[in-house]
Amino acid sequence: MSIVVKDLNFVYSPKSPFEKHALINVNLTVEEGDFLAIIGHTGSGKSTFVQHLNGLVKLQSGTIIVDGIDLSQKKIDYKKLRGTVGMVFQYPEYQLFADTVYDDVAFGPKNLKLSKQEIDERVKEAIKLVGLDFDYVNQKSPFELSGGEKRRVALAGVLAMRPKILVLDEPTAGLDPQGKKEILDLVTSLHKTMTPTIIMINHDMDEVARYANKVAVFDMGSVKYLLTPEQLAQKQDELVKMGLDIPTLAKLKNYLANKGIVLPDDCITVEKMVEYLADIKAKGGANV
Amino acid sequence: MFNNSKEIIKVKDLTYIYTTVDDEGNEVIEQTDAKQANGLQGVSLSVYEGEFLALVGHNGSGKSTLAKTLNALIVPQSGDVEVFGLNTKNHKDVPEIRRNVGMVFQNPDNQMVASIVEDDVAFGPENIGVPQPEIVERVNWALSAVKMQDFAKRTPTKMSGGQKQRIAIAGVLALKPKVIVLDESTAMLDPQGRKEVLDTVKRLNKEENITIILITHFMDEVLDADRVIALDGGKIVMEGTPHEIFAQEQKVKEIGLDLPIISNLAHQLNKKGFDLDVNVFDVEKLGDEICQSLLKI
Repeated sequence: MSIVVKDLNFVYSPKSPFEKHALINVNLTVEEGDFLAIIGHTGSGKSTFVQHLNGLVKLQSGTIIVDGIDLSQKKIDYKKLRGTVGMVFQYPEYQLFADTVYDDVAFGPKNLKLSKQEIDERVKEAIKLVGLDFDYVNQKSPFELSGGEKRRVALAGVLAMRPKILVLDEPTAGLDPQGKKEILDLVTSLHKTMTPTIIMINHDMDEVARYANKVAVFDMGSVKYLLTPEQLAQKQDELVKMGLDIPTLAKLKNYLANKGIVLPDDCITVEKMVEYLADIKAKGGANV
Repeated sequence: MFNNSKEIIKVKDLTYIYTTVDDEGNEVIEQTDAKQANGLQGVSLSVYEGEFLALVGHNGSGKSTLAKTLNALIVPQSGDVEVFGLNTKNHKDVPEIRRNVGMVFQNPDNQMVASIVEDDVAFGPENIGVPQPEIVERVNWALSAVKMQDFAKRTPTKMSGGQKQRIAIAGVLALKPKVIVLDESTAMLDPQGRKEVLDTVKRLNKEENITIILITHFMDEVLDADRVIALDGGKIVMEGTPHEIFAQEQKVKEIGLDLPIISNLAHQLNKKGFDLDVNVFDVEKLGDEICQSLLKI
């Protein structure tokens, strides 16, 4: 089991006029192999939650066990924890700092005090993983690269730590449609080959429907629902009330169901929708 | 529909190529990922009074550069930009041009200049020497126009992204511009914040007759525009109503853009023998179309 969170509470500025309960009794289990999407609007607690996972925020009450590391213990092996959980923040390209792409990506492994050879190996691997040409970019300044390339370099810096769990906070924010697709396809391929567990904060429900296998819905500091993207369709009214949305095609599925055309649960991507509707048509239409 | 309106901005043969200095100190032309020159090449277009114009294109297509030429943040290397009859090349006209064309950028945190909302909104009018009583009037009006009047005495730091962007819009409004350019102003917001900003912009367009130029990567934001212009490689490659643009699936994808998901589904179903109207962008209308086509068999 990858991550187990029990009765997690967190208060910002406790015992001050600005006291704010950011997390209230959060319980959540993320299994190895999950691609979990976290949704919820601004202030729902999702960022505070993910910051707990690699110890950026100190546990106040409750328990968190990440890949066997118990964060409620007094002594935590932070080096091990941060090697396990790789964190990619929003607009990670703003965090690039080194003179060359190579040094930027090597920063994490260097801090792990690895041998020169091992560092070199990891940097090459990470740059290759994010789809950049090592010989072309490694001696360039990260600031000479395009926005999409910079984001890849930032991601490579995290991957060079060889994390088992990758946390991404809105990885597609600010990218054009092509850039979005490239980053999400990259994350999907990492999920298959290298990082068994992915946690992604994302506002775009259509992306969630396409890429995730589980969705945690945060509302007012708690996990309101933990469900599959397919089950989101059943929660349309509840999610809209929270100011959230469901995938566009889940809405269409619900609409068609009301009209008597009932489609299977997994009909929330264009491909599946086309497949089933074409099938109904081929069989001579719906019997209503 | 706006061809009969007054032409307020005229861009003619606009070229602006970014250059950079190489290791030997020579000036060289900057290139995009696609190895094209970075910038704009021979762009001509008109903007009409009261219209809602959307500018789309992939990263590096030139849309932000184009936006920046409209209020003289960038002056053309060749060609002309005329705003209400004033050429952006004439330095003395620049303050007047900027009063008429306001800009709102992507990051709300980078656009705040004061620690109290009403001071922030007052910054523009103060700078152009508006008399004090009128400043108060303008600030109140601008904050009401974006529905942030209750926040006048508050500090922006603890607000959501959508609220901050509405304050940034109020700051621009306080200058009483005739045109507002939004350069990916919704990119960093959550869905609720995006909706707040878009609703505000649409309302200003309808009620105050402010011309809106919206730059965005979200194809669903384009649907409410009167006209869409798509850029690729620094040139205008498509122009038309949202319907006319998204009817051309192949071309839209070729220039690195996407169709709104509903329109995409309609196109894909038609390839499987359906006969749906691809000019439909909302769930219910497409739902009805699908029902009709399946039930009439």
